[in-house]
Amino acid sequence: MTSATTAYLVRRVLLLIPLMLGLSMLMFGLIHAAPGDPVVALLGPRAAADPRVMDQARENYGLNDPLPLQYFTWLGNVVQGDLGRSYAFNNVPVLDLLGERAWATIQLQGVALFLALLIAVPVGILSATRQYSPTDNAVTVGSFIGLALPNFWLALLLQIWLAVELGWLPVLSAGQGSVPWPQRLEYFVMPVMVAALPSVAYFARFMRSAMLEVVGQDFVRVAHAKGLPPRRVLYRHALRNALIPMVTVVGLQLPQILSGAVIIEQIFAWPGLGDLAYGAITRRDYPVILGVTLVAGFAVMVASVITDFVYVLVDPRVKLTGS
Amino acid sequence: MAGTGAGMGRAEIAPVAAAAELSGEATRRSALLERVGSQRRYPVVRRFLRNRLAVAGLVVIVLLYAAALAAPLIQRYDENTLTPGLRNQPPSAEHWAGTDRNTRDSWARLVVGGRVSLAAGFAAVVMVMTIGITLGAMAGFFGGIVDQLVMRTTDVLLSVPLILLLITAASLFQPSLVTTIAVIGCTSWPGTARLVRGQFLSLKSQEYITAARAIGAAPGRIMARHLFPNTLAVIIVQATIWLSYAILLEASLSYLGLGVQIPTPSWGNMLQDGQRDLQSGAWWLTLFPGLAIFLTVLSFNLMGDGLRDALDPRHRQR
Repeated sequence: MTSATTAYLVRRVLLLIPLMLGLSMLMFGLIHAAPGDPVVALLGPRAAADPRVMDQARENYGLNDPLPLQYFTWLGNVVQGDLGRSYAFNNVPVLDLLGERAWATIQLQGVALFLALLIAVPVGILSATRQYSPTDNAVTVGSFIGLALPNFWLALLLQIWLAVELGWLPVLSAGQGSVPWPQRLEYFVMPVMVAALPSVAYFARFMRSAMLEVVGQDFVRVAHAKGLPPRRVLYRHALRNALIPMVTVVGLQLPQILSGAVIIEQIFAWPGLGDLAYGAITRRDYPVILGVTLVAGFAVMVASVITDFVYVLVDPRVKLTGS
Repeated sequence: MAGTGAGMGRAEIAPVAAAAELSGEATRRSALLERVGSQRRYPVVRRFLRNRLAVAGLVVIVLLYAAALAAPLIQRYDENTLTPGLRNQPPSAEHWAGTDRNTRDSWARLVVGGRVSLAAGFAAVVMVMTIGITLGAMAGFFGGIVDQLVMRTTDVLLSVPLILLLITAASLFQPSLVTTIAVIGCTSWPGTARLVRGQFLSLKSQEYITAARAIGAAPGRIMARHLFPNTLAVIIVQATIWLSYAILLEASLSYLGLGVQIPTPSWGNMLQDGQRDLQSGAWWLTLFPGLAIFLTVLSFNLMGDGLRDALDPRHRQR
């Protein structure tokens, strides 16, 4: 790694601070710009009828303070690792709630991502090595279909078919935590399928074009010309180089993965961050909304820095100096 | 001198390339297109028409928009009329797509819902493009603080998963068709802004821009008359792809109950409404709206891909 590259990566890491500040201000501003009162959600409609109770509650939660003061109070706590307590989920500390839910999301999306790569990489290679063959055309059409299927619709169709009609799988995933391990996998099947499909389509298409690009380069022609067996050229010379850009694509896929998680977890009642986010948003649970968005944003930013870093590691030719 | 040399080189290569292109299937298709005529003068149109999937996408899109425009003519029933006794009826000759739990005709709701979904997608994309192009152009052209400001804003917006941002914004304000469009428009522009900025950055150091500056053209004129037309190809492709995203996002929001509100039908809220009767066997209420979203998104993606290949042959990877 050149010193310029190191300097670039250090700057990327330092840049996380202003970006996180910007994100927190954006979300804080957005939430407080909206009409509606979280205290109503907090205390229920009966208490909302009594203005004195309402005012006391607002005072207790600091909602009567001026907005900048509320922001800095909250930020001061966040920096000390205190994200506040949930309004809607039994007053649990937000950080505990996030930790508890994050694991479920990581499990689901980790399995889905692993499976997607396991399928997409060979399919992409197959497609590229037989360019314009019926196999290749089928892969192209298939990936277009995979990318266009709305995940919520696919989830509904799978539920009605695999769970209701055939009765093979449980419809919802709530309560899966208490099921012992081998059986718990049943709960994974449908959510993983829905989560993995767009990634499979996207990665396969990308793998194909990366492979085609590498195969057209001089060093591959040289490898062929010096008489190496085609398989060896393909797997030893071409594939290794085609996998390099895949690092970037996978690393930058995180926002899409988390977006998908919100809907998938909602439909299957998967007890993860997406489900938590949706619940918090519909119940105006401000501390939880802020907590989830900050965690998601932080994960995306860190993933992008790590992607850059890994990219330099796997491809020594790359020098990152751009601003 | 150098110019003539390059010209001659091209003249020599061209017939070979043409011969290679005109083999098998391609020959028949080209012959067909020859009769359509005038395609020689429009290489972009020719390249686009050669891509069968893209043409199929275009045809479906034209049909969808025609159906949306002619909705009153083809919907057969009013989309909000209740017919007592016709609760959750399966598709029949009378009611092509069945009826829903409120005894309304699903075909009529599909047609009108398509109108709503397509219009919402279109309006959202107009907004995304307007904001994205304006900010991207300014960032690329002026650089400095303007650039920093725009780019850091895109960094922040792109770091939040889009759906999370959308449902937060949509739920905080009164959910409606207009809110949905505004929310998609205000949160989805960063990608376009970055794209346009990149284009402007690479174009603005070219000689013809220096020439325009030298004769005293104002920045606004340079951007609008010299830079913008040269980024149009990229923007058209981006807009097509975004039409599919916007329709998908609207459907997602409406499905979650945070977008277009019942009784106004949209494909997304029809799915949400229909899923309650899925367990009792009313599959048509889930199948058709989803199929409509799927076909629309697929068609826009196919067309966008074909347009990119046609407008920018260097990008062509197939």
